[in-house]
Amino acid sequence: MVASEASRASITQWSYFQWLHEWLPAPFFHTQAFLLFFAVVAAVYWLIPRNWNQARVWWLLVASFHFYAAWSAELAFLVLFTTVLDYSFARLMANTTRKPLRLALLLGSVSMNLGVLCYFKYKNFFLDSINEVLVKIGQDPAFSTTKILVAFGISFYTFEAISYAVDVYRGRVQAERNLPKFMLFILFFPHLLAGPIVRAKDFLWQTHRRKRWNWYRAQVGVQYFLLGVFKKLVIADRMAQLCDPVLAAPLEHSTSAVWLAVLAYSLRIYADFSGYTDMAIGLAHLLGFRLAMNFNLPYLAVNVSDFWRRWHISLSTWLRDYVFIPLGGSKHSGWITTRNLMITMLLGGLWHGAAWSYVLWGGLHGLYLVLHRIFNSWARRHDRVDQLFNSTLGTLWRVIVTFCVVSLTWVLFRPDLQGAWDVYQRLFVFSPGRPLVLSNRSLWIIVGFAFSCMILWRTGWLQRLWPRLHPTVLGTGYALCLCTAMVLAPPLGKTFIYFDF
Amino acid sequence: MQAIPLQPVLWLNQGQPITRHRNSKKRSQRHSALLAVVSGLALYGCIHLLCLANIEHSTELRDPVFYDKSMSLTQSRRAAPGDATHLVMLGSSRTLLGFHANYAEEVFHNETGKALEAFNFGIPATGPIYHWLCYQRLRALNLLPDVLFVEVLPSMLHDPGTPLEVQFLPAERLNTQEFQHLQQFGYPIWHTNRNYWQQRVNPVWECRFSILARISPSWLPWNLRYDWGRNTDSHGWATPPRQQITAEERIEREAQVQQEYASTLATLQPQGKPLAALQDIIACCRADGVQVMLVLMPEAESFQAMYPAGLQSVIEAQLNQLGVPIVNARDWLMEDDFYDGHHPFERGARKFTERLIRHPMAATK
Repeated sequence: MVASEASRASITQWSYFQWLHEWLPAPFFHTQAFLLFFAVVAAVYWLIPRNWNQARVWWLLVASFHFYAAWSAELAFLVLFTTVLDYSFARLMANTTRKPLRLALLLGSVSMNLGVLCYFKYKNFFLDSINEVLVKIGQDPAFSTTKILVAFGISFYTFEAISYAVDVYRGRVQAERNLPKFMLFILFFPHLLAGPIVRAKDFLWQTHRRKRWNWYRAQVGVQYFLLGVFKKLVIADRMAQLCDPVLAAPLEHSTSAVWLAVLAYSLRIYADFSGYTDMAIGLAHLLGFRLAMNFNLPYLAVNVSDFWRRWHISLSTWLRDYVFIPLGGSKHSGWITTRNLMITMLLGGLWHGAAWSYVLWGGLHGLYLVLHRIFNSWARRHDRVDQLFNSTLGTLWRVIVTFCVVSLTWVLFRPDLQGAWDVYQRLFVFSPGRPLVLSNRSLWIIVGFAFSCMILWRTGWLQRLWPRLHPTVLGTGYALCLCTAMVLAPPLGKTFIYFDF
Repeated sequence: MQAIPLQPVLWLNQGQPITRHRNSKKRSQRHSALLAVVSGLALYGCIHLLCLANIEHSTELRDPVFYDKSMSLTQSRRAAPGDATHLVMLGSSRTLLGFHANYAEEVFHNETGKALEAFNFGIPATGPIYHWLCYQRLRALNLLPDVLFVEVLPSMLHDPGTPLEVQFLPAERLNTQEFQHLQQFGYPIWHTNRNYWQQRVNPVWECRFSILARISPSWLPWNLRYDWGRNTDSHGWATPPRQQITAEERIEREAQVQQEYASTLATLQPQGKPLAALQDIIACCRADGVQVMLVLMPEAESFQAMYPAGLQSVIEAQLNQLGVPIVNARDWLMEDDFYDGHHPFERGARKFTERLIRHPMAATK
């Protein structure tokens, strides 16, 4: 669990929040403490009369604040403060037609959010990098790094705030007049810590809608939540058991163990993040809100471009709309498009983590996208090649190659480059060593199960089957899914990977 | 507002506002959804109740090691000749690895010509309080022996206020009745024990390792498989997979044992509830007509060196007050017979067992 001792020490000074932290020690959706918290929040929410929509908004806002404050009261107040400032900037923008002033307000809002993000996430990274350069050129390090609170979810809510400010500036969204509703847009606890990155135009109108309890919607919410729990406990945490010991010390393990660990890590990161998103979407549905879909079977993508249309969709569309397109997109010459792609993906990599390995990861994906564009335009000019790649076997080949390329690039998705280099060494230089900690059988069963489900979903078989099932059969499925997830959950739970971003 | 297509919908169409269906279709969807959710909750509740019932009335989920041992004992009892004397040895991992029950039957038969059905009921990290519990459970299962040997593990006699053994006896291994009974031996008050209540509120989650260990133990690390009751011979005895270790390995293991035991032995206070538990076992045995004997298991010289001066005499004096025969087997084995100073190899187990069965006190039982 990534935790800052500084964060814990400051909480102890506030006894109310210390009590809150004892009752809700971790912001994980699949814990008993959180489920109890959610049950109380949802019960009160739906008991508030439908016409008292503002009261419901306030209740969710208070609950969201407490959810975040249970982890860090200081950061919860910081988010509140920056949210109020974002609201003010947007209202001022809406109240003036003078372009220079509107631009200044936009820059003010964006700078504030980026400033907060850079301070909490990148300050030590930048200072360490400068110090490294100084040391390499024979100078003494000029900057000292300080311990900074780990701000869970900062990358997500700052991006939401930036997208709101830009959309108000462009006139795509009207500035929200109601402060609590705007604050709920940022602080809504299902998506607060790890997304999906919500757009104002998709969320704000929902805060105005008077919601009625709907059993159908509740069923959908329960399905999403159970799916998320299953992905997190059975797939992600179990894969973590297999891959973490190997990737922490790759040089001590055999080549085959490291290959299996890389496969396990690919599955882990997908199940972890998409599992969290599914839980978030499910919880939102149970409160009458809809969040954007964030994953669409990314490991069945036929190329890297398709992969990024299916993986972390809210982030990739955000980068497209607020970085790639403003830079010029793909409308210009090949070199300009290449530049735009590389900048976008490098920033995307940096967003994920304050380390050069993440930047390299983003850069590699940028390179893949560029190479894919070149290859794609060449293939389209050669019909036979195009037909070959679009055939069934060709599609299967492309899916496998894309999966392998993406999986091998996930090796860089960690804070240190040396560790990644050690893994690559082990992968491509055959060496003996220790095997996996647990038997390979559990790995292959889970991998086979996961990919079978993905293929069944992609072919539409599950979507055709589901409505034909009797409700009691579905109910049985829900109960068995939850019990199976609980039984197969590994001994030690893991934090969500994307909480670190 | 866009209409949602009238095709079967699994998930709500993302990004499209909901609009009104025709009333009957909408009502039917709501009813189906309500039925699905309620039936799911009902089944989930039933599964939990079943699990809870199993926890209260059986040891299979809450104490799988005891359960497996008792199953093996039942089979051993059924296979034994009708005139056999039934012997059970309760103990810790020292007994699990040290008392070769099958060999004991051989030795006994060779010595006396009579049949003996011996069973090793050693369970790791247990002491007098747990052995008392085992005795009550065996009585409830009608598996009481004619002769009972009870290992005395000195460190488990430690009672500086709360018995040390309580740390090794989690509430999840007990049902409500046992939980209440164990309070007489210093166990925490049942209504405040968090683990006990967590298991009652969410039994599937709390028992997940024992459930998975039954279905597919390879999915769990070795220390969570609770298979010490299964990976034994038919008489409950187990032995390490390797019967030789290198000098470096011996030093490493002895250092580990030092870390585990030295501080406890240095401040050991053999008194209070653990001794009361032993007394109660003896009283129950007398009441049930079971002949009982206490056994101090073998320890290597390196292990014995951890005891402060005079402590061993204090322990023996305390045990002598219990008024039952005591076999002091601490010096019976050589250093090489152990793999870590107090858990013997097979050769050590055979030596100990043979000498125990031939011991005058044991023989009279």
